[in-house]
Amino acid sequence: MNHPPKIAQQLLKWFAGRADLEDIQGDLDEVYLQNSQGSKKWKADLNYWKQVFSLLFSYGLKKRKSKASYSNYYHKNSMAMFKNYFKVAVRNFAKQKLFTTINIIGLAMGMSVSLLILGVLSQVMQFDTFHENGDDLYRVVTNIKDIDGKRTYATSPLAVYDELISNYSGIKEATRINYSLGLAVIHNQGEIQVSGIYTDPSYLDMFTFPLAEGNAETALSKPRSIIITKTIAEKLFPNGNAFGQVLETKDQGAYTITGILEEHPRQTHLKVDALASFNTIESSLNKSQAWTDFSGNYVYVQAFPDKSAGSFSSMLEDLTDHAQSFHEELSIGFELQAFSNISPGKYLFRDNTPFDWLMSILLFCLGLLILIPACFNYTNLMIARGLKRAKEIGMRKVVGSSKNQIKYQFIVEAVLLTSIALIGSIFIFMLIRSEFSAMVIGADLLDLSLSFNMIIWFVAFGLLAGIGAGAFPAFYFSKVEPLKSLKAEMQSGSSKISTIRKSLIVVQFTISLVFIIGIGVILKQHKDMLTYDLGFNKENVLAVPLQNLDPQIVANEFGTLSGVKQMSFSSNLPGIEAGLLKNMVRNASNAEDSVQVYEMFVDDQFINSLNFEVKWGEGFSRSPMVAEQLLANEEFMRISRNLNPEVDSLTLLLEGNKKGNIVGVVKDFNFMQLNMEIQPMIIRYNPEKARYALLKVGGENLLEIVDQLEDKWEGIDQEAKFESFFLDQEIEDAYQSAFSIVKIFGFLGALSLTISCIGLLGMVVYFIENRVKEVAVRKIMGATLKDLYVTLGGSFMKLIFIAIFIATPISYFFYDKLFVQMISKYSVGVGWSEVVGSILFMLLLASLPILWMITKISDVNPAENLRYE
Amino acid sequence: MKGYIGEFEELVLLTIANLSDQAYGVAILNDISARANRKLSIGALHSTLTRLEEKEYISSHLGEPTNERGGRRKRYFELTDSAKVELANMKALRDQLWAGAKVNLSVK
Repeated sequence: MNHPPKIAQQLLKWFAGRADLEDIQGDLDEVYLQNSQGSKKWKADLNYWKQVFSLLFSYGLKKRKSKASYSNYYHKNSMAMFKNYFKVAVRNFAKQKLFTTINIIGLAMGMSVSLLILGVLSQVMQFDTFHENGDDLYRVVTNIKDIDGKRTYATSPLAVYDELISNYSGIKEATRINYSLGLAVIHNQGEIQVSGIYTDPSYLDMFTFPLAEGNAETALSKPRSIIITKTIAEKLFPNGNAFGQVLETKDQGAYTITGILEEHPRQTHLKVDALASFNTIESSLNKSQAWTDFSGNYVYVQAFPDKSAGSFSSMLEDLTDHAQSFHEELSIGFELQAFSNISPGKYLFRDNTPFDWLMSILLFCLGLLILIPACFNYTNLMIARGLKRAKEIGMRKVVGSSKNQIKYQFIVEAVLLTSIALIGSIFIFMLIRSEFSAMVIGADLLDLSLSFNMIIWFVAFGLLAGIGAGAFPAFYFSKVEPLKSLKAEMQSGSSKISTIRKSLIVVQFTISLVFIIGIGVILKQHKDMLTYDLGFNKENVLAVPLQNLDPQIVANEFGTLSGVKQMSFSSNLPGIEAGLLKNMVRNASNAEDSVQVYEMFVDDQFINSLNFEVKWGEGFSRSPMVAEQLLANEEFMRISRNLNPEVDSLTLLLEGNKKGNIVGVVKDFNFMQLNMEIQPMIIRYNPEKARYALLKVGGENLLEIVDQLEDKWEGIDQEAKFESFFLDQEIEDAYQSAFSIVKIFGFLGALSLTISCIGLLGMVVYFIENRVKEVAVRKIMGATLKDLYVTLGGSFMKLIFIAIFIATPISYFFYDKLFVQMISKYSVGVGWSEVVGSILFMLLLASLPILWMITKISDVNPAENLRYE
Repeated sequence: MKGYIGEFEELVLLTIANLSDQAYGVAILNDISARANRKLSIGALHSTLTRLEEKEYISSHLGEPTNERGGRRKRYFELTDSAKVELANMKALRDQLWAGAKVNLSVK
C-alpha cells in the first residue's frame, strides 16, 4: 500500500503544534487511499500536498490551534516550570561539587579562547564599515594565468588608473595606492621611521578619513606633500605645531606636512601612518611598465551611486584587451572587487589586508578545537552522573512530565553552568587578550576591549555553548524509560563506559595530542634552524649600525683595537633580511631580457671575514676597474643559464646604464630567513652604501671589546648613540618573532590538555566510586596493587592509546607536509624523537589522574568499604 | 450566536442530515462532490464545519478507533435542533417563493 508523503505529514504536524489532529489526519489518509487506487502515486501525492496546504491556511485548523493553546495542561506561561528547573539545577550543582567545579573550570578555559576568537572575528566583520561611500567603492584586482596556474592579485597596473579616469564616464573617482613610502625622518639627531603610502588627492574623497588640520582637496596635490596621523605628529612635534612643518629625511629629501589625519576607527585595511602625494614618485616610475607591472600598486575606484557592478563589464573587457596586448607569456584580466568584500575576503596575492576568509575560518576552527573538548567533558560527566539521576527522571515521568520537560531541565542546567563558566572565561579573556593579540598578525587593527556590543556577542555565545553542551544529555535522558529506571536497571550498565563516552574521550585526547606534537615539532624545528649552516660564519660577529658615519673613518678607528680580528661593511645583515629586490637587465645587448634579483652592497673584506665560500673567480679587488665589480650567487647563475662563467659575457646593465662585471660566484647562502628559498642575488662592491660594520671579534672578554668600541665611537661622533649586537644573537631573535606561533600552540595545547585531563579525572572518579565494593572484594581475594592498576586503569589507558594511534599519523602528515614546509624550506622534516617525546609527555600527564585515583582507593582498608555499603 | 446560513453551509447541513449517523469528514466530502459535482478541499470543508459548530448548528463527537485509518478515530457530526429549525425556515421561505413565482421556472 502506498504511504502518503512523509514531509507533508510532518509539516502538518509541526504546523498544528498541540492542536488535536486525529480526525483530520484520518480524513487525509482516507482521501489519499481513495486517490491512490486507480491513479498514479505522484498524482495522489500531489493531491495530498494540496489538501495539506488547504488545511494550513484554513480557519478550521487555526481555531483548533488557538483552542489547544488555552488548555490547562499546556500553559503558555511556564515561568513556574522554569523556576523549578532552575531550583533543581542549583541543587544538583550543590550536591555534586567536584563535577560542577570540573565542568566550570573546563568550560571557562575552553570558552575563553572562543571568546578571544569571537572578539577577533567580530572585529574583522566590522572592517571598513565606516566609509560613507562604502557601497560604491571597488578595488581593481588582476587575474593572471600563466604556466604557474591561475591566481588573483589584489594589485593592478598603474595604466588602469589612467585609463579609468580619462576614458570611462561611469567612474566617479579613482585612486592609486603605492606602499613604498618609507621615510627615515631626522628627529633630534636620531631617526624616526615613518611608513605609509603614496596616493592621489581623491583618496581622501573616496574613503572616510577626515583631516584634523589641512584642506582635504589640496593636501595631496603638490609633490612632496605628506599627511601624517595624530600619533606620528605628536611623536615628531610634541609641542603640537606639526601642520605646515617640513620633515627632513635621511636620504629622501624633504616633505611638507599638509595635513594631520583625524583619529579614525581602527578596523580598516587602509590603516597607515602617513600619506604622501602620488606625484612625488610619479616621475620615477617607469612608464614602459605601466601595463606590465601589475604587482606594485593598488587601484581603487568609486562608481556613481546609480551604477551597479554589472554595468562595468564592458569597461573591464576593454581594459583586459588593452592590457593583454602588453603580455604575451600570460593571460591577464581585471575584476572589480566590492570594497566590503576586501577584508575579510578571499585570499589574494599581494593583498594589503591581513584578514582573509581562510584565516578567519582557521581561527574559528581553532576556537572550536578547544571548545569541543570542554563541551565533551560536560556531556561525558553529565551522562555519568545522570545515570545516578535516572531515578529522579523516572519519577518525573511517572508524575506526568513530558519528554520536552525533561529536555528543558537538562538544557537549563547546561545553560546555567555555562553562564557561570562564561563569567570565569571573561576573566581569563581579560588576562590573556594582550598576550594573544600580540601573537595574531594585524592585531594593531583590532580593538579587543570589552564593549557593549562584544558582551552581547559573548552572552549569545554562552547560551549557544550551553545549549550545545546540554543537547546530548537532554536527548539521552528524555528517552529514559521510567519503569526501568525505577527498578534501577540503569545502574547495572553504569560500571561500564558506554561507546559514546569512550569515543568522546578519544576525540579529546586526539586533539590534545595533535597540539602537543605541534609544540614538540616547532621546538625541534626552532633548534634545527638556529644550528642550520647558513653558508657563512655567524659566530663572534659583532654588528654595529653605522648611523650615517663614514665607513672609512669607522674602519680606521676600530681597526686599531686588538680584539677586532677582521672587519667588513655591508648594507644588510646576512641571514636576516634581503637587500633590495631589483629588476636587473641581464644582457646588455637585449634590454627586454631582465631578471629579478636581490642586491646588497659590501666592501672587499666581506667575503673573507664571514667565511663565504667562493665557487669561482675571486673576491673584489681594490684596484680600480672600468666596470663595477659584482659577485653573484649560484642561484643567479642558475637562473641566467645563458651566462657561462667561462665566457666573457658576464656584463650586467646596472641602473643608469652603468655596466657591471661578475668577477666571482659565491656558494649559495641563506641571506634571508629560512622560510624563504635562496633567491638570485648580486653582491656589489660599494662600501659607501654600507649600513653595518661587521666586526669579527675574538679574545678573552668580548664585553670588554664592546666597551672599547664604544669609547672609540664616542671619539668619532658624540651625537649618535653606539649600538651593537652579535649577528648570531640577532638571527636568533629574528626567528624568535617568527616563532610566536609556538606561544599560540603552547597556549592552546596546554588548555586542551588541561581540559582533557580534568575531564578524565572526573570520569575516573565516577568510575572508581561505582566500583568501591568491587575493589574491596578483589583485595580480600588477594589482588595486588599491580593487579588493581591493570584492571581499573586498563580500560582508560586503552582509550588513550587509541587516541595516540589516531593522532600520530594525522599530526605527522600535517606537520611534516604542510607546517614545516611553511616555516623552513631547508628542514629535514619531522623526526621521530619529537613525536615520541610528545606522546610520552601526554601519556605521563594522562596517567596521573588514573594512578592517583587508583592509589587512593586501594589504600583504604577493604573492610571499611564493604561495611559501609 | 445564530446568523445567516450561506449556500455552502446549507449544503453541508443537508448532507449531514442525509448521511445521518455516518456523517464524518470524508463521507461528507465524497457526498458533496458526487451530488453537487464540486471540487472540495479538506481544508475548506473543515473550515465550514468549524464555523457551523461555532454557530451551534452542528455538534460533533469522536467515534471508536477504526482499523482502516490506522487506529485513528472519526469525528461524527450531528445536526442540532436549531439547525433543524433554521433549515425548515429556509425551506419554507423557498417554497413560498417558488409557489409565488410569476415566471415558469420549470426547465424543459
